[in-house]
Amino acid sequence: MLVLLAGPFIQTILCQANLDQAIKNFESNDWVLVSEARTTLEEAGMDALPALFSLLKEDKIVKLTNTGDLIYPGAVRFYGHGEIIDYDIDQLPVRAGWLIEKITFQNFGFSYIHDLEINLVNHIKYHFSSSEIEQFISKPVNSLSIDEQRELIKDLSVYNAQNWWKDNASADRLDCLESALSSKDDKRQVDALQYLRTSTVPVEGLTKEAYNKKLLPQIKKLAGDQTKRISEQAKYILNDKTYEFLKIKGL
Amino acid sequence: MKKKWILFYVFFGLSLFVFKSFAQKDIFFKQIEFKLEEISKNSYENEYFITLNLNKGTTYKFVVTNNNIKYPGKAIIQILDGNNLVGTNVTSSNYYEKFQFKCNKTGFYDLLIKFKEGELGDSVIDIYMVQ
Repeated sequence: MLVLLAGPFIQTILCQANLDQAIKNFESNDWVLVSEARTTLEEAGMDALPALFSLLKEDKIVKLTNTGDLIYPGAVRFYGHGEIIDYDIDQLPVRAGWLIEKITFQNFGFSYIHDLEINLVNHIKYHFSSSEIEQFISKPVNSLSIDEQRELIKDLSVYNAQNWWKDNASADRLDCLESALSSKDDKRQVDALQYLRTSTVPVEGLTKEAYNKKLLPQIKKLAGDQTKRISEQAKYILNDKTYEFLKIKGL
Repeated sequence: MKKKWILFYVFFGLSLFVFKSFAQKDIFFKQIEFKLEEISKNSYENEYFITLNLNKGTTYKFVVTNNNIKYPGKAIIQILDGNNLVGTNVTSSNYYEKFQFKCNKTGFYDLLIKFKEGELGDSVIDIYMVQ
């Protein structure tokens, strides 16, 4: 009887231990461990967020090793093939931000930090409000050095993410997915469509019925979008009459 | 009799030549024209994106023609399987106007075409299936 009662409690402890280990690995400098950990954490979904938000505060660089053919801003060589990660994941807060954005289908700005110099000021001006910017600097954005601009984008991204978390700590991932598809942010739309098309990680509550009711109307709209990366992917999903994109998630 | 044999050899040789020529001919698959005449602040608007169904065991040949008279851009092609880059015409130090991609898994691949950041361009990409 006692064992039966303790069952769920033990399971919770085991899940937490699993998450703790994944977070530890996610902070590692070994890409193989980081890569495995990101899958575990993404599968945990919103449960992984508290720990990932704690990582945002750890402002340190953990240069990745064993990256093989990974294509990311810190890569030393380009082999012409490999996984593309558009985030400077050698920086721990950015690495956490990358996965937080992936889980929540949000765009806090972490992917802009490493962008080309000529694009940085535009990212700051168009992605963040002036009141947000003024919290971190008192001089004009144009007068900042390139390093300062990158640092500012990082601070603003972390700030945005933390603010979102304050209001959405109890959000569920399916709602986040729906919100991304109906947002006006191209990056969020692309990420959400990309997730639907190719990811094998399930989202709790994403059934065929939930898809038809919550996501389908928005995907139909996106199929007519002017941006090809959005419309092409939306059409691909609409043409999948046998729901293969859900089946690969085990749904 | 000798003439017959010569004729036979000529005919046989010619047949082989013709057969070989046909056998090596690539099959046209698709042509893509991508012209970028102004740079948008939205980076997705500065690229060409299309999803293609490619077949396992088939080798696809990409031939890029860059019209560099008016615009300097050279088309950079990326073949993507999800987030994975599986083929491109650019390496760290080289640019190729022709390249081949051997497909190892039947499925939908994304073809992303762009020009070097900030450059305008006008390119035609012909895709063939190599026999």
